[in-house]
Formats: sequence, structure tokens, C-alpha cells
Amino acid sequence: MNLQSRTEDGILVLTPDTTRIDASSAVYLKDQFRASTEGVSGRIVMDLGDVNFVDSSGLGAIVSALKVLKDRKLELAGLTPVVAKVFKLTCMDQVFIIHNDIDSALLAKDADAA
Amino acid sequence: MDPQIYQCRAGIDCFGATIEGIVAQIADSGRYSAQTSENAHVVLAEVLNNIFEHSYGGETGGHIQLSLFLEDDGIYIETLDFGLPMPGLAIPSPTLPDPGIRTEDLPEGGFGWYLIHTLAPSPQYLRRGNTNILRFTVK
Repeated sequence: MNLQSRTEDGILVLTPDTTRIDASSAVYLKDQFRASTEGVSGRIVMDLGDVNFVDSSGLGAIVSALKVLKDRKLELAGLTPVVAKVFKLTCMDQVFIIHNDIDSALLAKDADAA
Repeated sequence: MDPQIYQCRAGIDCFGATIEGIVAQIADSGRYSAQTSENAHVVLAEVLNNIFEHSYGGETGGHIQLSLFLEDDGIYIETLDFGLPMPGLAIPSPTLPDPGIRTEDLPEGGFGWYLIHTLAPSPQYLRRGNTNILRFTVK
């Protein structure tokens, strides 16, 4: 798994190029997130629009990504049904800023406008 | 109805394809709601991960036999593996952290059994000889 990185309107957009974030890809996500976000001070959005499955290891890796940012926020966009369910059941939907899709994330004026 | 029986070699790189194949079969049967299929997907993934990581110690892995019973009142899943017994011969039942917890204290694990208990209530565990038997029902 690779975490694709691009900047749009000053927002760092990270896109995992996989449809599953599970035990086999979680470790790559964590490492690549750390590398991609080093020195970045603006908003950071992870686009999960193509990800149709996240297991507990993948969820753990996304939580660890948030912790890398310390007091800053991590925004997630485009949660597909199973992914949204896993976040909701574990209450992790409350610790991230979640946007319906990447377009609405980019249109939001700031992280708190979700 | 006779079960579908899958034999797999525990290994994190092969689970995705195995699980997606099973989930496609559940969906193709046309007998279950999208919600039930989604729940089965999550439960299967967590169960196989747990066997790989804990029963087989997360390294080379070992053999898992998975039986899937597609019944009118739900999906019944049974796994057999030949790894280590569950600690205390009991299924763990972790709880979620306090939602007001600080970011730095958020857990990065422990979600797997929580998800299983939520989506497949009352999972069963038996140890017979050198075999672990786990049973789950998803409705």
C-alpha cells in the first residue's frame, strides 16, 4: 500500500491506493503518514473514498496517524459504508473530523466547518 | 443446509482475498441484507486476524478451517485452528475507552474483539485437544 500525497488549496490530501486497510497494510500507512506529514502545518485530509474495508488493525493505524499530529486534527473524507460502521461502533467517529467526500472537505473553510 | 468449508493458511497477505470471496458468496446468495453482509465481513476479518496474530503468534501462521453455514436466521461461522489456546481458555471482552480521553492516550488496538462482540453477540470458544474451535453468529 502507498499513501499518495498531493496539496490542494494549501490542504495536504493523502490517499491510500488500496481498497482494504487491514493487517497487511496498516504498518505502511502509519510509516508513510509520518513521512508525508513531517513539517506540514496546514490542514491534513485523508481521502478514504476508494477504501471499502478497514479492520481493527487499519483503524489502529489511522488512530496512530492522528497521534502523530499531537494536538492537531486529522480530517477523514469519503467513508464507505463498512468503514463508517467500524468507526461508529468503536466511537472513533468522534475523534476525527469526518467529511462526506473529498470535495466537501476541500470546500470547508477550516477543519471545524465539517 | 450443508456448510461451505474453506481451508486457508493463516497469513495476513492472503486473508483479504479469502474474505472478499466469502463475502461475495454471502451477497450472491441474495438471502441477507447489506447490513448482515457487512457485519459478516467485519467479523470474519477480525476472527482470522486474531487466529493469525494470537493463536499462531503472528509469524509463519498455520492452518485454519472455516465453515460457513448460510441459514435462514443468520450466518453461522465456525473456525478450527491448531495454535495456542486462548489465555484463560476464554474469549476476551474488552471495553471501549472513555470518549473524553486525550488524543495521546487513545488506544491503537483492542478494537477487534469489541467489534466481534458487537456484531456477533455471544461468541463461543472450545478447546478440544490441540484444537481451538470458535463459533460466531451474525444476524
